Amino acid sequence: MKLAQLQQNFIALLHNEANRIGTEVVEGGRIDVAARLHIYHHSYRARLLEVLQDVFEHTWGYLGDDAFAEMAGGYIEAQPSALRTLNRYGNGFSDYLRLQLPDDGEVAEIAQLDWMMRCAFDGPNRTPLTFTDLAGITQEQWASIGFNFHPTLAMHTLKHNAAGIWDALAHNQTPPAAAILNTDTIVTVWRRDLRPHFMTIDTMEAEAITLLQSGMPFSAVCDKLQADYATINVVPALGTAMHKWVDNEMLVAITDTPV
Amino acid sequence: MTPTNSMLRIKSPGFGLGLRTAHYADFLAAPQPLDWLEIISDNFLLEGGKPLQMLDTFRADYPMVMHGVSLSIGSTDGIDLNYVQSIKRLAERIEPLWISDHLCWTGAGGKNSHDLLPLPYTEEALNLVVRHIQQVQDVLGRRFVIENVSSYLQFKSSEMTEWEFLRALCDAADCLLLLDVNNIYVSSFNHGFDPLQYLHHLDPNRIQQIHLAGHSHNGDHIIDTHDHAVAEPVWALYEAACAHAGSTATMIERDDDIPPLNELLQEVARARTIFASSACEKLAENSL
Repeated sequence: MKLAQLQQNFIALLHNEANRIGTEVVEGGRIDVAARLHIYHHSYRARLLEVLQDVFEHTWGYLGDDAFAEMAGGYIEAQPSALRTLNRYGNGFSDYLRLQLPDDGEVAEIAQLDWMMRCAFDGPNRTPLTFTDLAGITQEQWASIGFNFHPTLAMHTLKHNAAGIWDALAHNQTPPAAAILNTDTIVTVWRRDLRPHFMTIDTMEAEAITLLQSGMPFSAVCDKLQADYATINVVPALGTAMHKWVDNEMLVAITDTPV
Repeated sequence: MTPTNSMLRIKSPGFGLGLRTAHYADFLAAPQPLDWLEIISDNFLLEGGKPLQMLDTFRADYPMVMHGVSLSIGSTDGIDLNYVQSIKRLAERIEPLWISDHLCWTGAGGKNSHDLLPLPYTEEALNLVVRHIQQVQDVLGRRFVIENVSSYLQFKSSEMTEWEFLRALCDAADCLLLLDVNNIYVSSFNHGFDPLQYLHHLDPNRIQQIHLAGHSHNGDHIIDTHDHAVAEPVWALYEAACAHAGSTATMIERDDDIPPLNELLQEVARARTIFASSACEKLAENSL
């Protein structure tokens, strides 16, 4: 058998597709061919389970060993790894949990928080803006400039009290009972001082971040949000948000788009 | 200048350990009695964050070698040059003494097993791996170091032994060898061959590094788990390896059930003692 075919057959065995490799294996010795193949079949699943347990530590803690192993096992069978390295294999596990546990929506949200925190942990480095940087911006420049957020910054909308559950698990406390929130909560995750952080933000702030991330100048963001939120005085509200962003090292660059 | 045969290996930096996050606090707290550290390259192929900052911190204190697990040098899918370039960028950052990965394949047809799967020892596989190692060496601009893996099955199609394959590979690709003594022992038990025959067939001038690790003995087979202390038969085989290869960079490799650093340092100390007595013995023989 040519090497390419042998390797295809071996991979097919690992993924439960077919056993066309057994006849290629030397017989004899202390264990039979089936036992030898089983070692590799088991090892593949054990390794991926270990990766999911590491990345989704709080989801694992929330579900417990058996339920997590069942969910992870299902994901492993449904999602053969096509990645070179293992660190991003869990991309998709949260969506899988959402489909598998439709009546326990907080589980997928806890998993999404685990995933976002891991991605923020080892994402790119950038030097944060300081208040001195902002102080150097002239009145004229404010008309055209925009801002870049830290590349690890991501947002996600929660319908359950997953943030509270995640936080309790992270501090080894008994998590609150799962509950659906009266209104959706937006959580933002980013890295500061080498550690991932998360906090909840309101809808207008989330929209401002999204618009700025799209490259819209700050003044245009103010105008758009003022039109959308007629009852709020948007400029001072965004001024407060801007102070928080700088204080939390969420902003990394001033961009200039000539008007 | 092309090195002569006697200059194939980089001079041994001594005795080291695989760097693991469980021991970061120990390394930050005080200098440890280690000559060098080995990192798992794949754990640091990241864009930023704490892992790379810690790596830079430890690199300032210890020479390092890079050990990968995802190159898949024996895959018929070919070499992923983007992956090799990412290894090269990491190497430019930490300037390792050498760079290694395994004689195995990890995936095919776009699916990855994330396991070190065995090759059939055929001329076809040999030619493929030689070609791939030459590609890697061209990108990295240095001799590559290849490690023997533990295996739990052998293919009927093999035309030579693993040790014959390894020797031919090192000669044809002009690469070096990371000799995992535990892997030799594990495979010898699982397949019923003589580990000393394996060891003595290898060119000592090609052995750049030695791995020592623990395994799980299941009675009728052994799994290479790296979750135990080095077993006695492996220490005995290491003594034979010292006699065969002389002064060779040696380290303890522990990946699971990681104990306090001090336990691993005791294993490193034992490796030093075995090498020293082996070296003394060789010296005594030579002086007779």
